[in-house]
Amino acid sequence: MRKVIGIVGEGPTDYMVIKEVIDHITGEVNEYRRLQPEPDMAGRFGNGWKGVWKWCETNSGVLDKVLHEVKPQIDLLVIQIDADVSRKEREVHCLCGSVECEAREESHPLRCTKVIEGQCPVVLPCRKHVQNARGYEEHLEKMIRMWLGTNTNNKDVLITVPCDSTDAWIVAAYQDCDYVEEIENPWESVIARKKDYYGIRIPGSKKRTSVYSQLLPRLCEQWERVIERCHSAKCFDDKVKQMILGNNLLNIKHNKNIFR
Amino acid sequence: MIIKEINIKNFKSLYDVSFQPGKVNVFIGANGSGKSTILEAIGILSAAMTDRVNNNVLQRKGIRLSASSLYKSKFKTMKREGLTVDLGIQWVDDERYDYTVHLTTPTDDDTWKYHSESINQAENLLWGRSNRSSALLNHNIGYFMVTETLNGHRCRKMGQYIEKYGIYQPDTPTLRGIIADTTQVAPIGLNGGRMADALKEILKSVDGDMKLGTLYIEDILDLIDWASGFDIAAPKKANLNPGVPSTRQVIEFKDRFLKANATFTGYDASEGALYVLFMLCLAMHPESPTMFAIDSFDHALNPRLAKRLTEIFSQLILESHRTVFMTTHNPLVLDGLDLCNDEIRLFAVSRNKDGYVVIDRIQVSKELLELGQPLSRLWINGRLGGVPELI
Repeated sequence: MRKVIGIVGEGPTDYMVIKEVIDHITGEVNEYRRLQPEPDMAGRFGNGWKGVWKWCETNSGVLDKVLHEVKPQIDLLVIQIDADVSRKEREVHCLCGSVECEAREESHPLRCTKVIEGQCPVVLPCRKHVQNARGYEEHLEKMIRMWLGTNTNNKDVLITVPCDSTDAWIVAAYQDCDYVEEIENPWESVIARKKDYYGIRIPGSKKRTSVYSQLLPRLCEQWERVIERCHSAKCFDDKVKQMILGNNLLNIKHNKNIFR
Repeated sequence: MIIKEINIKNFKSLYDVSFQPGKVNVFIGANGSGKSTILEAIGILSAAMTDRVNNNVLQRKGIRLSASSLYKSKFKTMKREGLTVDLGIQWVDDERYDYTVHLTTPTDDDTWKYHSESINQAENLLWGRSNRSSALLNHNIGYFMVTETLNGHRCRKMGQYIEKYGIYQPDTPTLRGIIADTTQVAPIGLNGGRMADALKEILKSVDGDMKLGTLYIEDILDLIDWASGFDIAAPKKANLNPGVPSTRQVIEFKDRFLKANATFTGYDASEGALYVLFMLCLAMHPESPTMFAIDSFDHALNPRLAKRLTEIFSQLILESHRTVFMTTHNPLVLDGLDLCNDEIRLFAVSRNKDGYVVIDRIQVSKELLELGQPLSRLWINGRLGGVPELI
């Protein structure tokens, strides 16, 4: 049965990937809402991983109402953030407590003057986490739950952390390469490295939705191969099956204990 | 009489849609999502039910004329092209009525032909016709309003209600009176022609108070905050340059910051003021259609003005028992809608994966709105749908 699915993701191409993959897994043409925060007055935090952070914090107190008190209701909320954020961005490690910082108590990591002035004491890689795809994934999933104000699994919220980014899933669909999740920045280092990627013209290094619409059919065709090679894709596949298909099969959508 | 549902099949991007309208119906959606096509489909339904469908009738209703081959849906994923454009309306007036018409698009001239037409009362056929009917009927005209079988029948009331439907799209030069309205209808043209005359017809003094329709002039001046008054008069050299083309009657404004004798006409006034007067006139003039549409309701309006005008306009529509379908791209228009009133409805229009139009009625709990999540914000943030997804 067709579901209404809200997606909070880093950008339009991530949104396209998630939509296509969910439709492929569920075998349905679902209905989607791309949820985005409003940017601040400086035009920041309306997009990207900081936008995801802001959306989660802004909606944490009213999440249930935002999902269920607007009809059509959102049956499932998908929150996506790429694992490269854990690898590259100091702000998401601010609260890990790996270093002393007097600004921690006073300012929000997204608006911290130390970060803006390039004086953030956080050292990357953060020693509080395992430095691999699963370590990044665990760290960011925990962060997202914290931003949402919930430490428990919410039956309506699916968190996905593609490693190193959603582009890794695309590479896994097209190429035979091992450890695809360990390739840093697969868009620039693999897909957009040349003007042509498996017969698809890649104009410049900017991610374009028109290019993605050509890349996506194969991602779906080769999805089984992708989940074999990408742990993050497998996790996503499992969660979608459990949270969408599981709901349908068991027809006990309102049983609060089912996914806890 | 309550309209319960409108069905549209095989018309442009509306392959198979239906929705349950209220009295005030607002459609939001990305550019190209199909909002205006919905207004046009209702126009064709109105023409088919009450008259005939040809270029002349469609133009009078403000419907874009397309190449004949483009009227029917042509999606890549369609296995076979549909034979007819199918339109239907269901309403309740003590009993439930269901009017359906199947039309073939023009082939050799500009006339749409009736493939079939029927009216049911509580699921029972009251009257119908089809290509197979034995009666010799002209396939170029609709018979719902003329067949003797339905003479005096209550179901005709819907025909009368929907008959004058048109899609209003005021434009500034026409409102200023410097160009003629190519779609002039009584009392006010689809592009705003003859507005001064229409306003004059509903401007009156009641117990010493000036009123426009049911509203006190002071309520209207609250919306046009720079104006201290307005009247309708013949243009004079003192307020309109003789080199400017003009209509017989013009709106004469007084600016509260200018001397009393420094009046000027709609030609020099802010366009926002003209759009406000246009909307109010349309909602209150006794000869205005009982059912009509406005494409881009918010055009030329400051967001706050759009919100306030939406509140007043909706109220006037409800009071006058009219039905309006309107589109907007201005989030603040949504904040002027009282969605707790079931007669005021909001619809998000979008295209599905295959490009087919999908219409969703949006309902929001009062609790959520009171939590500081106004409709404008919910729309901008994507929660309501009706936004371009990939920007």
